[in-house]
Amino acid sequence: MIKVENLTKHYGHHIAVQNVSFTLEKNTKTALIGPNGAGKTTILSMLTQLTTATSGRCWLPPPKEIGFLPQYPKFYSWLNAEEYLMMVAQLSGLTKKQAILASAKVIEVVDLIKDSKRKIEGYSGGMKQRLGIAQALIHQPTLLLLDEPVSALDPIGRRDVMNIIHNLQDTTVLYATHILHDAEQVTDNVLFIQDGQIKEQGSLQEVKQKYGGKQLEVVFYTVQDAMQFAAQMPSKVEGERVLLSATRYTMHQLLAIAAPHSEKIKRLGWKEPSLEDIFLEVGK
Amino acid sequence: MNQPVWLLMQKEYREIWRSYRLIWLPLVFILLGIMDPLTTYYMKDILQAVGNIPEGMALTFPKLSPLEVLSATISQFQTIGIVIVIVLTAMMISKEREQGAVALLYIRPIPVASFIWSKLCSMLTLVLISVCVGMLASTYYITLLYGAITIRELSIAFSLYSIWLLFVISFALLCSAWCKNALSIALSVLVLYGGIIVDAILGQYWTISPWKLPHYAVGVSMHSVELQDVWLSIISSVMSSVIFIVVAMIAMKHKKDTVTI
Repeated sequence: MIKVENLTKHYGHHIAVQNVSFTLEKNTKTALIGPNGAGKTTILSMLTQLTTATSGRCWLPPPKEIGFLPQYPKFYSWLNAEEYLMMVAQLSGLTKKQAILASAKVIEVVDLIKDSKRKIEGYSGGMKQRLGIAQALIHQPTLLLLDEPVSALDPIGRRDVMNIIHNLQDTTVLYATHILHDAEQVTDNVLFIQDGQIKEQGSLQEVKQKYGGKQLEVVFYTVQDAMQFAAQMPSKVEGERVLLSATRYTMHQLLAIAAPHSEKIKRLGWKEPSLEDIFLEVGK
Repeated sequence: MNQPVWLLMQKEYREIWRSYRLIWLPLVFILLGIMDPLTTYYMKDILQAVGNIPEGMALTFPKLSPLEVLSATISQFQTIGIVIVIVLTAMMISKEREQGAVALLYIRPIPVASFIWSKLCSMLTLVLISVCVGMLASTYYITLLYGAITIRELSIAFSLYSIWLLFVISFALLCSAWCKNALSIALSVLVLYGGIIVDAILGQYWTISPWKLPHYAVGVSMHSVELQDVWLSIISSVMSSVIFIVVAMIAMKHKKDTVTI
């Protein structure tokens, strides 16, 4: 279990992070979500001890059990991927034999087999990002910290990286992101951060429940029709969409209410608030 | 050898090799090494070839001993050669920190001492190889044109100059661990090269200092210096170097915050 208590970082008069507390259960995946400048990178760099916290306490695994991927990973450009990974694996405590096996495995996982003997200086941004993930995973860390792991990637690269994260079994993952669609696919828990403070946290389901839970959505062709329909019952109107609480109405009841308006309705069904909806709500 | 130091040294040696430093730095010192024996010996011919010498003017040059020419060679190393060494060393840690590559090593359980030792050993190896081939090239022409230099004389000169280089590299590494890249270079050049200039102008007022070692490197064989001064200069250089290295380790530990991520 990873525990962070009242973590604070001041840069002169600027407060980057203030009294951040959270707990990460073993082998869970948590998304640290927030706008640019919210303090996500500062939190991760304090957890990796690259930055010293002004105050607060952390209970973390020892450094050799932590893997870290910065947003823009930098490497020694004169080395090739294989040499680099062999070096970091051994510096993380693996023997030479273990390092050979581990580097071959991660090179395969991040799909760099063809380029593993090329100098890193010739790598594209996406290849560097994949090498960054490889170096973070090579020593099989129990805690993996990722800072915007997919922000520099194209859609295929993003999908591949999210699959890698999704398939991690015995690792606790904390990853900072503002690409919410991807986060939603792999995350168990969310931490919303804004202006250096945690605004919301919990499991994905808990947070979704808090911000409306499962809802019934009726989409009309026109805004007027939607407003007319909404006036009949407690509901929320968003343009042509009318949202009704799923705890108040069943689908059966909804169909009965909607039947007289069927020619005005485009579609209807279940809807859950997305991370993006919650992100926008928290940010208000 | 301690494993992290060895692994980090491998990284440094690969950079030295792949950036062609192991080729061009020795070439610089070879060039500096052969410059004085050749130009001094052929000065009369060079001046005559250049022309503009009034007719009838007699050109007389003092006959130099082999050791005096070797001393002039070391003076050549002390100009351009030493500035290159200072600049290369002063960038070693600060540049890596500013570019951010070291961030992915800082998060691993590597003792700070390993970083400093790997930098010190790799740079010392590169510079000593360069100076050694430079001195050998110089000795070849000195022997050919002026007379023999014994292995003992050459070994003493190389050993004393190596201790001076240890002092230079240790101080530049400290600056690199402590300051940002530009400041590190400026401070190293100012103190080390400034010291050379100060010693050249006012050096007659003291006899014990690391800056005296390049002068003593040949002075010992020429019996023109007190051995006690040489030993005390050696001790002061080695002790200063140890202090610089320890402070560099402390500085590096406290400057983790400045790494770019």
